Amino acid sequence: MNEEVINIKNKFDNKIVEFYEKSKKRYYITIEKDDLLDFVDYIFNELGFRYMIETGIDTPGGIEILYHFSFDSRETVVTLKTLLDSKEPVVESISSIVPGAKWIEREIMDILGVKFLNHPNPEKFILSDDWNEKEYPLRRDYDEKKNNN
Amino acid sequence: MSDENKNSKKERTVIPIGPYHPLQEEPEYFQLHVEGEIVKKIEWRTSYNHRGIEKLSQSMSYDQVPYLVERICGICSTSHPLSYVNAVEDLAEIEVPVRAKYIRTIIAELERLHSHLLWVGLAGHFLGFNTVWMWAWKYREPVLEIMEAVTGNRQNYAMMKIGGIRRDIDNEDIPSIKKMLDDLKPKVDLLRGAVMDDPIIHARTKGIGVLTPEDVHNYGALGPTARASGIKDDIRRDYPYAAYDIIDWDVIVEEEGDVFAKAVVRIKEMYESISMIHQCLDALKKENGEIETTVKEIPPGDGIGQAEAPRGEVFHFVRSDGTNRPVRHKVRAPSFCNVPTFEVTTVGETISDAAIILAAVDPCYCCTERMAVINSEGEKSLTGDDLIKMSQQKTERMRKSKKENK
Repeated sequence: MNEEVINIKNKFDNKIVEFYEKSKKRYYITIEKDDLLDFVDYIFNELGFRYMIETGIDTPGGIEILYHFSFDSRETVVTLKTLLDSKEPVVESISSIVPGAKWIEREIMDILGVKFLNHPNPEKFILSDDWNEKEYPLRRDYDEKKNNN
Repeated sequence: MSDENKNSKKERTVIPIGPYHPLQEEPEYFQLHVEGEIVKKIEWRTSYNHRGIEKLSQSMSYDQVPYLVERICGICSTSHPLSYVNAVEDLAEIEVPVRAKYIRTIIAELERLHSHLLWVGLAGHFLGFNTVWMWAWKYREPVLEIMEAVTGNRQNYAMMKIGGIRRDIDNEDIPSIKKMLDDLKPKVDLLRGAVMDDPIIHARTKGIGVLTPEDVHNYGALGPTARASGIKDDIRRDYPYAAYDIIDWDVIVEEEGDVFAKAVVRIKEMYESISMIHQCLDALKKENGEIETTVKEIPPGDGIGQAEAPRGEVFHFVRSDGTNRPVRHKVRAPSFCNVPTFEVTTVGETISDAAIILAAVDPCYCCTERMAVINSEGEKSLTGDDLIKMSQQKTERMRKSKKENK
């Protein structure tokens, strides 16, 4: 485990819900959504990780948002995982810290119906303007046949 | 409303760029808010061509997905499958045979060569150097012909599969590929001279659309766009995949961050690509092993795959639940991170420079569909060609004034 990952572990020792080392290159850290901005600020601004992207996944337990960060010179990808309630998925937008997150958060909003608080421009991004409200194509309960016309 | 706002409302003109133009690789819509000649703000709308690839991918088996993601982009059509197989190999911890690694590298670098040549041509066209355009596209042809000879297709090569590659390169074909590369090198010299030694290109591109290292970090900019700003990030070096850690090559970095630096990075990278392909071909002569490993099943878990496409890192995330289909497959192309940098690079520049700044990150959006002047008496409409013409006329004016000064 390299220095940067140890730093994250030490700094947020009591806030890490689960720490998983898949390989020497890939670390997955599960956190509470309330701690998200603290983690992102530390990883992105202080440690200087590169922001890669976010992935939204609808799982049986809720909607998971994965924040992928890369430390290129150490060949390390750290992924922050946070779980949101499927009925009311709300999470703070990280775009105040990472300007490059604006697009992908709008995309996740479109496809999974996650609400990003304090997003500067929470408008439709990838779906057409006449797409049905409350229908999110990457949700598990999305009915393809109904919309396939 | 303050006086300043009143004035700016009167003078501000909105120029729509896009969403469709035959020269664009993908449809995208930009609005340039300009005051006089100067760009004050840029807004965009994207995803006119949203095809639901991520959703489709969930309905396909692991073996079928490479053919799907190959069709995300026509130009970097091997970067996506390569990144996807990297993700699944990361997930299932699959080791790839050495010969397959070399062939993966050859295909990826041939693709970079043709993509950079395509870009040099387009950039030349937007600046009014149509000879550079014709040259670059003419010399790109032999690269595509080699691709066709090796893979069967000029685009969409269908070479990548989980655990290896699908088609071997016949060792008898190696001399012809090497000959093509040898013939290509002087042509790249020619283009390098045309771009790097031309005072007018210097005047049009140096100091224009500067992207600072801080902005690279903030927006997560990638590939030649980041490397032209002094950031030494290259996935081939940082997260070695295929054969990039067993061959000898350099990461090309320039410090200035302007349009010229981005062009220089791409031109120098072509030399690196040629050298890398030569090394891989030499290695193939000695390395006569398998080209694939047998993959029985994909265990549950998460996998992250990366590949350095001509425009930067392609990122794929795959989650498996142990069945034969991915539960979630996330794709992030480099332009997704590079295009938002327009927010900082175009502001404060002139309209005629906007075309080449937008082109410099290589999304090829620099063609306008139409232009409408609002908030003025009467309405004037210009076509997309007019914006390119404005850019070309600026070069012409500079050429003339240079001659007069002599």
